[in-house]
Amino acid sequence: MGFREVYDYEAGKSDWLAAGLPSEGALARLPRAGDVARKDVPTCGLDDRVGDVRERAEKAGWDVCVVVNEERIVLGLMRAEELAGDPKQTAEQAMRPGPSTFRPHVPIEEMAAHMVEHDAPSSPITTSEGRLVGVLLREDAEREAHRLHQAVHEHHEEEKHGT
Amino acid sequence: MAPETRASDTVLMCTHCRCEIEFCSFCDRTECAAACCYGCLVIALAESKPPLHAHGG
Repeated sequence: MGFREVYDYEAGKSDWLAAGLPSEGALARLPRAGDVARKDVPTCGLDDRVGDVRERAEKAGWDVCVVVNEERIVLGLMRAEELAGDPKQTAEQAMRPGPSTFRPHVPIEEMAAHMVEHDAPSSPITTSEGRLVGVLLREDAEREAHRLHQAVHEHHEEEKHGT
Repeated sequence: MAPETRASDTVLMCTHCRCEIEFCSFCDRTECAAACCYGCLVIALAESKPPLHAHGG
């Protein structure tokens, strides 16, 4: 085939996709959680004060902050409820530890359906090692899923009418 | 029996496999109407992964 340098990714294709790495093929064009997740979500460390974190998050227009370590591994999540707590507390004391996280390769319509079903306003997206990719907002997930649904519908209509 | 020592009256169950769970694995809440255990959630989300090629590529 003409390839001179070939590597074997031992962790496998699922792990490659779960890390949010690029892929090819027809399915690769479909939007996934990692594509839609907002990468500019505010983050803080365990020792940061809730009051400071809230102020920073509010200035950036967020009501959620992800608690991470130096390697951006997700340790906890602070939603509006936690951010409204005692401003003198540390993030470690106030956060929800070990929140549910989702991999970047999960199809957006799947995430949208789950977020609606569970009434979840946002979901952290991480690699399989737990490194933060971004936060998926329900409104973004629903909008993308709707857009995808419409595109598929229009494609079927075009095929039906032979255009 | 004092209220603080009384066992919980309601047990949260996975809406898919009916196993007992402490909280929903999707939203981390104990009062979720669509509560799901970790195993069922992994299956639900993994089902939508692109199929792997038979040749392992």
